[in-house]
Amino acid sequence: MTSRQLAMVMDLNKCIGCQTCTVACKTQWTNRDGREYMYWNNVETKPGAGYPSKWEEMGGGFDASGALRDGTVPSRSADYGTPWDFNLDEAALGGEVRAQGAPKNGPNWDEDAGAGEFPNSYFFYLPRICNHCSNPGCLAACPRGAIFKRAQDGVVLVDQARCEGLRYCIAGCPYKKIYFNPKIFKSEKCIFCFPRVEKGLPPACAQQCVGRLRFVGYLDDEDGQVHKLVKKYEVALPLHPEYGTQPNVYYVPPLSGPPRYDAHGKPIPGSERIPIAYLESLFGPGVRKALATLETEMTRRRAGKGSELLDLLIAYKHADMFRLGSPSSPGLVQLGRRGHKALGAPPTR
Amino acid sequence: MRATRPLALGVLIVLAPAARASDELLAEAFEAKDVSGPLVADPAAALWDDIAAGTVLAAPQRTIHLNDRAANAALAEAAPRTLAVRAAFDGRDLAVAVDWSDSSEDRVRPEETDAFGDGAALEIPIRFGAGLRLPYVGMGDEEMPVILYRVLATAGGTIGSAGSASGFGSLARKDPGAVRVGMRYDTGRKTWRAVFVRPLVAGEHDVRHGLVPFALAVWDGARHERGGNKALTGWRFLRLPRYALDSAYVAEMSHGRAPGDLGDPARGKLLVESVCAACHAVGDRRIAPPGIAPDLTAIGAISTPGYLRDSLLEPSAVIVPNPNPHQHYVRSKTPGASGAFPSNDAFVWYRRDPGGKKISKMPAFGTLPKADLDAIVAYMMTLGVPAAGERRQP
Repeated sequence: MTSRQLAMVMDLNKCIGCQTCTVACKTQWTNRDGREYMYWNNVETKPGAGYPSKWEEMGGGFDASGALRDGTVPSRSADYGTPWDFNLDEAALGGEVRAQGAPKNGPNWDEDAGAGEFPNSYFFYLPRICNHCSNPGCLAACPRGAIFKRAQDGVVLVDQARCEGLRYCIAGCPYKKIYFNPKIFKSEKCIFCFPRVEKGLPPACAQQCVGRLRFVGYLDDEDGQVHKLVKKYEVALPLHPEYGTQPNVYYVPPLSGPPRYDAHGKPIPGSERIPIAYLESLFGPGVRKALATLETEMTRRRAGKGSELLDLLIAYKHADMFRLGSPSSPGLVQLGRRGHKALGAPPTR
Repeated sequence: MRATRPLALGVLIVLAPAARASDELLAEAFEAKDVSGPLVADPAAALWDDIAAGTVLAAPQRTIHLNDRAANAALAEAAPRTLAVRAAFDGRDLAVAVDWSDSSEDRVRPEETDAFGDGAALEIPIRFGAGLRLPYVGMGDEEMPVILYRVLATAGGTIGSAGSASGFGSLARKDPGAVRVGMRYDTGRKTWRAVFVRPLVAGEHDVRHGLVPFALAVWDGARHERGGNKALTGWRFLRLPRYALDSAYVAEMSHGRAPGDLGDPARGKLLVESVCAACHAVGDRRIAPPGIAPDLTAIGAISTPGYLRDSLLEPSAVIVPNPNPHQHYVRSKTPGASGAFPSNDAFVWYRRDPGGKKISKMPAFGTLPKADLDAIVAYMMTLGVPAAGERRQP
């Protein structure tokens, strides 16, 4: 039984789509041995097809009665896009940079395409990792019971010794955040950087985030910023709560942005550049309330009053944004620019 | 075409109906040819040309629901497949060859995530003989585990594996040791042949018996079949003529085999649809919530009459292993510490007594008149078996 749940909050108003998180994850976990096509962390443009392409149409998750729904196993060639290289050796000597092969799809294939017509076009970025769901579709789908939630933090992991590469988990995950490694014939997924978490560190994607939009902590830690954003202010919302898996990555939805312009180029007061209905289709019915809270707090701040919520979203200190408790495994702890600190033995429980 | 011939009746204790049933059982058994060996796991070996094949139907697995859209779309259209079985043994090894039609040669490809390979498996109970019931045919059960030998077509060649299992999802790989496998696709005839060769005595597992239960499964990669999405047979028997038949075992396995042994299927249908259909998907009256009990749509294709009788009389003795219990949760309950809704126990097919033994949630039907029980079994044995399919008469 999972006793505590670790969660992440991402403030979408601060994501610039730089993919530093993607690269932090890839270089650490997925740049080798059959994982080349996997993005345990990706950043996709919304509205957009995402990664794998049209993952939101691939089923999985649970229906309204709490029963697992059928889903699709994406194809690497069609839905993920076969990884390709560039002719960098040639280009270094003055040639044009070209993709090798003829790629037809890939991660971030529709970057910045978005929706709407100029000047009323819009898009925003949606970084995605495994949601480490409380009712994981992957876990429910595995005929071998090879997927489990860690008791101490709810991180969802695949027991590689039990996995037989059957891929029902991939059909069962509505976010398509569990992948098949055809080289070792096993399913693999985001592990929430648990070896780092055990040393008191946040996942690499959160640590490296340039915009400092990721908060990491336990949902029941009432002094933690994750708890405050999710439970106290209710401005951080799960992605596609209707999928029924109780995801544990939460998003502060993007504000609607600048107003729309009329045919004469005049701003339309009160208009929604990003339609609220679209945001609700992603983050559920809590969107309006979350955006209203953000607006209220911003108004307070503009009036010179204090706002705990905005102080928190400014993300002053990593130490406040990442609350992982005492390290539970010995070793070196990285302290960013302050260097390293050796830890002693893990605390006894 | 049958490779078998009626055996000398003198072996059996002769009581008219029982003897008829035994004859029927033995006539349906697949006779393994006693050869001089050595046996090789070569699908192209000339040996197989000299052995007549018997056929057995493999029915698409419908007992439990798996959650792959593409596989389920293919399953909706799937029909039973005919497997041709040949067997041989020498002093050291037992060899089983299985042929089946498949319009495409599908292999696991190392560059693709949704490519599935064709394959086959041979299943043998770890323990069998007089006084022992057969394991649940779908990978055994906790009391009666099975040994499984598998072959899988991959782009790099055939992969063989061996393991033991005691229910869905419990397969534990074992060192295949002296087991050898082969698999070959005949592109002209569009058929696969898989060959399994294993020692007659493998550790404590000894198949030097007159009658050896076995079951087969085949996978079609083009239908996204893997794991539980497969076509499987019911228990069948290999007859190894060098070894004596145990008449008691033959008698036990013969239950309901002779024509007319069982009751009236039409009456059975009425009973099944008025009683069993409350929990099981079966027959024309499909009112049971999916997943609340094993789906019996094709139960006849994978069962023996004895198994069905035992299931009705003593459900806890032959519990079908439960699929993943997390496939259903209860939304109306309060989520736990991690925010998880608890699993819905209504979809677990058994409870456990204080000693940990599984107790089936199915009530026992021992109070039904024997004629009704027989009628239910007779009807269920017709389910999933096409009229023009496997012949029960030799």
